[in-house]
Amino acid sequence: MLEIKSICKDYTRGRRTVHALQPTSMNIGKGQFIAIVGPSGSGKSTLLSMIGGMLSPKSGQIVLNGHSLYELNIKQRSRLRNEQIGFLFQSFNLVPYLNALENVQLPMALYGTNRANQKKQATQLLEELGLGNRMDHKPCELSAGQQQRVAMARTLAMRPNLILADEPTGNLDPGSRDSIIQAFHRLCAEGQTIILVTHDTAVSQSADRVFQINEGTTREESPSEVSNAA
Amino acid sequence: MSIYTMTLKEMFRRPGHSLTAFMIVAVGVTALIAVESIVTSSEKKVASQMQQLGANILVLPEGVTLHDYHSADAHGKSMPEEYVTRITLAQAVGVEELAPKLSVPADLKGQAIVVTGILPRTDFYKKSAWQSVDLLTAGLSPSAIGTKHEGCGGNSHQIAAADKADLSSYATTRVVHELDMDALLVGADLAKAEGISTGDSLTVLGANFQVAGILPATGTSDDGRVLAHLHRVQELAETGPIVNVIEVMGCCEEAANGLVGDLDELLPDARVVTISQILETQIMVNQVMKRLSYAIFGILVLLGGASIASVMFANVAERRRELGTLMALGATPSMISRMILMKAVAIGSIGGLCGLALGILAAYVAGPRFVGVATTVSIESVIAGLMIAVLVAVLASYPPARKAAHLDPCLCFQDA
Repeated sequence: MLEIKSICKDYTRGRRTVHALQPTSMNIGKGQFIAIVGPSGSGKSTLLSMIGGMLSPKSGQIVLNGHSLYELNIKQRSRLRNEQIGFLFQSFNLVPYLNALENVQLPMALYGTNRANQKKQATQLLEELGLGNRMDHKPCELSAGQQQRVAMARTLAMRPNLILADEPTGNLDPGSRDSIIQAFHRLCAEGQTIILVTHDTAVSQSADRVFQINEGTTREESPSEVSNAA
Repeated sequence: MSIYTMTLKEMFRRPGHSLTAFMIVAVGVTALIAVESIVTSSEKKVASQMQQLGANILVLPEGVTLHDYHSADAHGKSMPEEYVTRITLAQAVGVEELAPKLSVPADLKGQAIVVTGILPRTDFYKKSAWQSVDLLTAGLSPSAIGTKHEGCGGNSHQIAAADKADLSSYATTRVVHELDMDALLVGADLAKAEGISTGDSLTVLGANFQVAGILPATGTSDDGRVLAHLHRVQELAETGPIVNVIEVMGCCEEAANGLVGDLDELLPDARVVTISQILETQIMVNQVMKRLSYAIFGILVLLGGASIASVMFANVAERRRELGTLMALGATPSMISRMILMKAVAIGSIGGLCGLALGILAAYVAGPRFVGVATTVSIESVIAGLMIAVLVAVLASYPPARKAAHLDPCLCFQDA
């Protein structure tokens, strides 16, 4: 489903070149739950950005369901991201002036789904996530756990094949964190692939596969070894 | 939901942020609409006055300056009535009518008014203060005072035979054919205010007069006056044979221009001006106002543009995380720039509409009050004002929109 072929990334700061990510390859199948762990600044978000089609690698290739991401033009890549990739962020990144329902409608609005369908699907998702009575609330009127559930509903709005999550449990209490992890497992069971960047050992231990990044170098580890490695 | 509704929601989330841009656009459009409309109306008024007054010349006492043709006798200075004789004797080319006037203050039913003495056309050819002229005028054509201007149809101010008995013809021709010594003509506004009608008896300057006619409204100072025979006014006011102004009606513009030099030479102690010269000040004021309005509008466009650009750049900087998130969710760069430009269109439209409303109001209020013209706002001005407002907003927002479209979508991953 997702093939990452020897991608690497350098950043140039003045005369200095920083090797953010050494050549990395992965082959990720449908329905897998992948955790990427590593210290801050190790290149985790860089890898996630490249997989998401938002940061072109210096070399290598990323193929998602047969589409080589960086061989597509910007418009095609944006479209593919909209249809096949869902993002979940640590700080939720909800649009502050839209209510919960409108935030969930957003990816569908960008796709061009008609308003009635947008509203129907967004309502259904929010109800499934227990936010049926919070649909008219702005993000600032919701708790962190509720905001993350709205963000989750937005991620799922387009039924993406691939979900990229950047520290999605970082700002949550243990109860909210556990419900998010359970939701991820359910989604994987339904065939959606999840790649998650985390510092949380409990989260990475529940993943199917774990990749450890250290100073730009990626190494796959067994989930049970993670606590020692992280 | 659509990108459009999202843009509007964003804009009204904190309207204060866009208020400066709104206001500058509105002020620019207000200035454009108000000044342009007033100037255009003023130009139309001048053109209409020139058309109405034709090729007239005013002979005024030396040192008199005036800006209104209809108040040409209201300056308090005088000159000898004998000047009329001189003009007649000179038999200048193209002179169709002469209308000497003397205005004096008077009292009518306890109200201060102006009584203007005029010389009816018949008296001009009969007995007058310049008796010696009789011999000369006897041989002239009854339709002109000077000699005929070659190649000119003439009769721009002549009283038509049918109008000779109609005293109200003064409103358009500036002369009356006949006026008895005890007759009065009353201006429309004065007649209305005092309830005067034809046939009424009035006491003015201590003498009894009979109202021979009510003049039709002209929208000029004539509407508030009383007209009587010149020699009767001179006698009652004890002024002697003087006048404040002599109107010389030329047959055409060319003849009028030629007459200025002739009359200047003939009356070295008087000031001779044409209608164009009288209106010149107004024309110049109009031109200056028009240039000023364009200059003000240009400055406001620049300020408005800079302000909008600044607001938009700040807006894009403030929304970096949000815009990065939208890109992560699948928004293309063109969608992002469209969102910014839509906001610009909204600012331009709302600011432009507010400016239009204020500009139209200002034009209707300020025109009559400060410039003395009834203002009309043209649809062209309205469309131009709105289009310019939107265009400036869009052009000023183009660089921020471009910047937004080229934001790094990875911004969505960075913690605030």
